[in-house]
Amino acid sequence: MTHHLAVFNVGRPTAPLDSAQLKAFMDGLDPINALSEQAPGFVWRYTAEGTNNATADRPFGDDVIVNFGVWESREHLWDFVYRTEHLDFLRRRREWFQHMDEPYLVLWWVPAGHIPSMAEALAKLAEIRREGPTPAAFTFREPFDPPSALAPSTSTATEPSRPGT
Amino acid sequence: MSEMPRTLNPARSANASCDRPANNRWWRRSAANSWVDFNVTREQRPNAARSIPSPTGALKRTPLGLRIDSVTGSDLDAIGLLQDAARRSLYAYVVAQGREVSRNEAAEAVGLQRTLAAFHLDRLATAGLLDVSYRRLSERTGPGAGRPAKLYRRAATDHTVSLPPRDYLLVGKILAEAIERSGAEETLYGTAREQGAAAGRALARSSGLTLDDLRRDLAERGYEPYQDGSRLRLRNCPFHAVAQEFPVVACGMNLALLEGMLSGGGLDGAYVARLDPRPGECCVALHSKNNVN
Repeated sequence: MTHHLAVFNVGRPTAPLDSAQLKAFMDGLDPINALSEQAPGFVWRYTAEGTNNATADRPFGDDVIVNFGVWESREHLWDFVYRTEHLDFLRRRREWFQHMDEPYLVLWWVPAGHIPSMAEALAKLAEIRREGPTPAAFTFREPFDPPSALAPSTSTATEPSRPGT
Repeated sequence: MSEMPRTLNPARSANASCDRPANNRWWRRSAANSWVDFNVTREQRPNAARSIPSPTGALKRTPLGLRIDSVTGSDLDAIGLLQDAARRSLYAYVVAQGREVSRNEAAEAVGLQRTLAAFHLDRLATAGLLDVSYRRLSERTGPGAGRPAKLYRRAATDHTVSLPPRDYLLVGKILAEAIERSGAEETLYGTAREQGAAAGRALARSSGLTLDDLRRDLAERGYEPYQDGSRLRLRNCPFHAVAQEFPVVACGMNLALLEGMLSGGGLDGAYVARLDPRPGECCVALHSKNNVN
């Protein structure tokens, strides 16, 4: 597999993280993160220094938390997000996160082995907010194939395998 | 010959189930159940990567974003095949297993001669109602292991035929996106819960509702329930095409509907509906409260 899929999303909590309102969300972080690490296709997830999750880093300001990871393929990420206990977590998102009018999630292909930086993630989110879904920055609903599949003229490029399909 | 289940999966066999009367369902298949829908849509099942953008984007790029084949489309032929009783029982048997089924097993289950069953199974496969794979059923490999067996399972494609043309799928997707954009999920879930409760009350009206009654009703709605230990699981998602694109909205709504049915039918003391997703199945399972941890 020549490319992996990076995912970055942001959320503005409805209350402080240590409030009763957010308790179920905060309590779920460790188990859900552990679940992701065991899920097929998991590659990497971002954690703030000295912690086991990303909630302490606030590149968008104090009121916005981020989630950031890399998966082997869109299918692997989709199966984790929508076909595990994570789905129930997502179902409750309105209890914990304010509605956002602009895109809050972005996906993009990275060369396998490349761990994207926070700056790269911020640029990708800015890009999808500016330009909508493109092969360089897209969403689950409007996915694009990894670059090698788009450029078959590179004869040495190996077709990415498609586990889960 | 095994008894033919009363309903085939409506999502994939359209009005194969038009023998049932319309009643006070929260989602009716049609008021009259007499039309055949000529509006043929094909929805690729699970989350296969698509290089063609799916309808949200397609709405912007290609008008309507749905795939309309002609009236002479293959979906019509596929559904027409099910008029034959032998083929219908074979199809019903294979899809009810939720796994690959061999020719021998299918033939035996419906009481057909093997070669005849194979003929019908292959016609169903050619028409796109069943998917085929080949696998050795024994552990042996190499010379002498014999040829791999031909195995059948429900095709990954929806077949819908509607006449006159109707496109509730597009409506569903537009509404789902609107709910997501406006953040109206709680309203959706509340509405679904109420409608489910009304359906549960209607079912329970005569003599109280047992899990068997509920199971029969869910089967009629296309869920394909089966027992899995203490859980009642649902093999088919009646909202599959919308749920693939809007999983949170559709699965949350589905959960609320089933929660409502349990409470409306007075079964919520004994069972609880949970999001318990598994690839290829409905996202909701009904857990017996005696076994809930």
